Amino acid sequence: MAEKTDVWQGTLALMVLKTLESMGPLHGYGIARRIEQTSGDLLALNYGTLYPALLKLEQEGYISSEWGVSENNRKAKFYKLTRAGYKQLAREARQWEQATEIMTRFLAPKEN
Amino acid sequence: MRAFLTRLLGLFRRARAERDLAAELESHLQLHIDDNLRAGMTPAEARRQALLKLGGLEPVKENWRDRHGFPGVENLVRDLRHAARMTLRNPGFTAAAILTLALGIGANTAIFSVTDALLLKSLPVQNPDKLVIFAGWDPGIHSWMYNYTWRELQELRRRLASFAGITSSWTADRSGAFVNGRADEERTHIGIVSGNYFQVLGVAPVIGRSFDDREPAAVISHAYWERQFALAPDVLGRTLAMNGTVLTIVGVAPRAFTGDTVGQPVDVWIPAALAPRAVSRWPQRLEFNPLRIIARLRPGVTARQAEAETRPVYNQLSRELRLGPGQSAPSHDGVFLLPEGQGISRPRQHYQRPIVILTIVAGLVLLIACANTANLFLTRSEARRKEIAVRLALGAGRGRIMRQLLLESIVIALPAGAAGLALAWWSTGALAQLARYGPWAVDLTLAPDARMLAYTAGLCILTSIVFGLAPALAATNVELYTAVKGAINGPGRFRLGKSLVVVQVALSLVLLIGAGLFVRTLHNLKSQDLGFERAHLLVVRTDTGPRPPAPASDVFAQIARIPGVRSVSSSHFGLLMNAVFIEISVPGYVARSPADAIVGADQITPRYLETLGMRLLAGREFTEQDMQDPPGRMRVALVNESMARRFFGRTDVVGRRFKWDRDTDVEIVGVVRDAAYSSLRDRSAAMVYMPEGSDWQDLTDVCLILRTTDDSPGLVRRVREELHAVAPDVTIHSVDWMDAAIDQSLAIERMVAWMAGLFGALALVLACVGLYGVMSYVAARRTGEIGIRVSLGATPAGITRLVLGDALLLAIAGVALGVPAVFIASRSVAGLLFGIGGTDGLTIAGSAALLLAVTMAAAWLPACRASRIDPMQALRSE
Repeated sequence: MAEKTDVWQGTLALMVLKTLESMGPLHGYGIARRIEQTSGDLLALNYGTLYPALLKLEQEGYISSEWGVSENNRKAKFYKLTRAGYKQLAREARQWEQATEIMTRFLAPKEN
Repeated sequence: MRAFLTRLLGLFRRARAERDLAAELESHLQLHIDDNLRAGMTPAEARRQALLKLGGLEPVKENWRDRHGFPGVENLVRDLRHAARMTLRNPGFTAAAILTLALGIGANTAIFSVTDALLLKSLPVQNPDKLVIFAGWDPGIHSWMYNYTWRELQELRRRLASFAGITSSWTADRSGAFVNGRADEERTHIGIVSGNYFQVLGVAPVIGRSFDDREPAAVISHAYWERQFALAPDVLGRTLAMNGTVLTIVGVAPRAFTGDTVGQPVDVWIPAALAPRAVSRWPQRLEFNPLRIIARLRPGVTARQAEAETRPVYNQLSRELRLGPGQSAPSHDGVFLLPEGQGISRPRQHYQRPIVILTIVAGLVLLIACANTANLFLTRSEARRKEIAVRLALGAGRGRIMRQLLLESIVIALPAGAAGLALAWWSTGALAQLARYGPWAVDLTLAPDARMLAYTAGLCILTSIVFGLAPALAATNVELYTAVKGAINGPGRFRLGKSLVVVQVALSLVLLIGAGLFVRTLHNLKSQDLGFERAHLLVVRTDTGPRPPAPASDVFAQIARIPGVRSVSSSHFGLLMNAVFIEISVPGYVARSPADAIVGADQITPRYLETLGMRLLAGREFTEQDMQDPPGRMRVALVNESMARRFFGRTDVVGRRFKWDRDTDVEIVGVVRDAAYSSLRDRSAAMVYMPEGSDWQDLTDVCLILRTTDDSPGLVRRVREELHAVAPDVTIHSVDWMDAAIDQSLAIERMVAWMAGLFGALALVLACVGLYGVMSYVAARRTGEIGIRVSLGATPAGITRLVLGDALLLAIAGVALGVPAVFIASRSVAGLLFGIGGTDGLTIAGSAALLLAVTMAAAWLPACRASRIDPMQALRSE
């Protein structure tokens, strides 16, 4: 099994937003699982760090929450993107792409 | 921003959000456990794995909390709650601390309200710092003089360019105006002003307008509107009759504006041009009417620049006046521009020193109260050493604990401040009442305002820091190991508490001695030989109305017939009023300074000395013939011993002459013993008594003096009735017994003596409480040691002596510190004392003895308690 990577500072929020965009309303546990699965189980996500991040996003108005019932009939708090959240996701994704592009160019082998 | 607001809201929805989080985490675990079970784990393993993956419930909650709300603020709130709980747990302690501080803060706030009203506050006008008043310096009486004439005003207005506006004002007290055809019983204070007065000062009437220079109109004060018209909205257009002149009310001044003199509020302002007609006995020629010149500086012009422009202009004007057709004298030899932003006030200079001293005294009381509270906190934090040490050991920062302790002092200081404010509110009424009497009566409205609130709040914060900081520093500076174990450090500790008590004792001694000095000053002033008989002397002040009253001789005869009246006389000023000062010259006497040629003067009528009980040393009293001064007859005068000694070097001066007013010859017909005539403090002022001239015949503004057989109120009523019957147009201002008048004239001295006495007693009580607290604490800490002493054979009396000796040492150290302080401070109060020195041995020794005795009494209880210590119990507790 490959070595697991810690979640980089500041990327967790983006992952949460992206997860909610693709999956629709989801509870905290579901988000955590989904992030792990998407990363191909390469990310070591401490589930506990998710909750302060969710609180922050909610305070900033990018997501909203509501109590509901999960697929296996458990009471759970479901998060979903707000309109501001969609915009923020687009903005952050663009920034991230730019950053990775720059890094890729930096690290790419020199062309002769 | 949005996050900030949500977090702010988070402060208030704390409990619900916490429950929500707990439920959410629980559901998270359940979902995870379900998955794990499906993967084939045992239930126990499933839960363990889920918890591991989450990272523990509490750390998650803690991280979440850091994000939710503001942890700093929440901690502060929690600390405040804790502080409030701690203070409520010790109600006795809290009550003592709050009461102590409330007294200190209340005293300071009350004094501040007087200081502010009389010494600090600006006039409620626009840009008060741009106002100046014209003044001349009178070297003779060592005082600023503000009087100018109408003519000078007109010329200065025409010639000066530094000012945006020049206006004039003067104040006159005359008998009541006729309002709605009914005479106002009280004296009306009239402001005689130029038409541009309100405009130059920048005061807009609350209703109506101000008047023009020559308009028969009046602006009334807000207080007068309330008193006379019950704030009727239709007051504009109503009329006032003054001395027969009808004036239409055209405006009402704002409530805050009571004129340009502080402490002497004006009721009605009238145009100066109407004063000769509307004010009785006013100079009939307008150009000689007295007035003060108040001017507003042009923007950008400083008072100094304006003065530089004014000086040569005024000097030129003076020359022209002397040489001009009327050959009138200028009002002053030169001109100065003084700041007018605070308004002029004669009382101010008389109250200034007493107020400054009372402010210092109140400050010292507060300092003692602070020391006391600091000591209370210190002993308590010593008792809480274990708690504090445990918190420090558990990792609480020193700053956090200090903040906690400081918060506890603020929790004490805030209610103390509120109580102090209430106390001040209540006592300012009494203070204003005290100031309303006497020769320098001031009418102050001492309502609590924003300035007073700000002052109190400042005091609160300052005091809580002063009394809270030292104990907080001491409390957090502990050795953890010994403190947690509960061991008590050696008796050498607690030096801070003991030095606080020494300082308290020293300050109390200073205040006690001060109180003693002021109380004895008041007593000396009251009991001194005045040079006249003060008992059964009735003083009636009158004012004539528009019509001439009955002849004076009729009035005197009528009053003399009243049963109980032994003799009747009169003088122009009456006793204990400021007499007029005149310049005299005696052949062969060279005045060393202009002041040397000045004597006090009053005009009196026959039987004056007999009525007052003043002793005639040589010569005779005035007779009826002396009152009529037919042309060609020599004027006559009585003089007092001091006058005779100063100008003639001897007292047998009957028949000698002096010149008055440069060219009037006066012959001395009698010499009178010195009396406390115009001031209780100065019996040796040189006085000249002249006969009331012929104008005495129409009873103008005289002061009737009656010697009676008793002090019955019925007599006062009878005198009023008879006077009213024989001279119906005469207004009676006051009928006072001399005893009461003397009491009133001592208003400032009484105020100082009362306050100083009160503060002294307060200081004494506070010092005792402080000493008691410290001795109890020290004795309790020495329980073990005392137990050993007792078991080794010390007697209870010996233990009592031991503790008392400790207390005595502290008290003596305080006295030793206080006495030199008194010697230093005494110089600043010397001017306020009478018949006693600032370092009076008896007062100092008496106060020190009293202080020592009372502190010993305070230490007695802890000493007795210590002497009853059971050695077995004491040793076991160690």
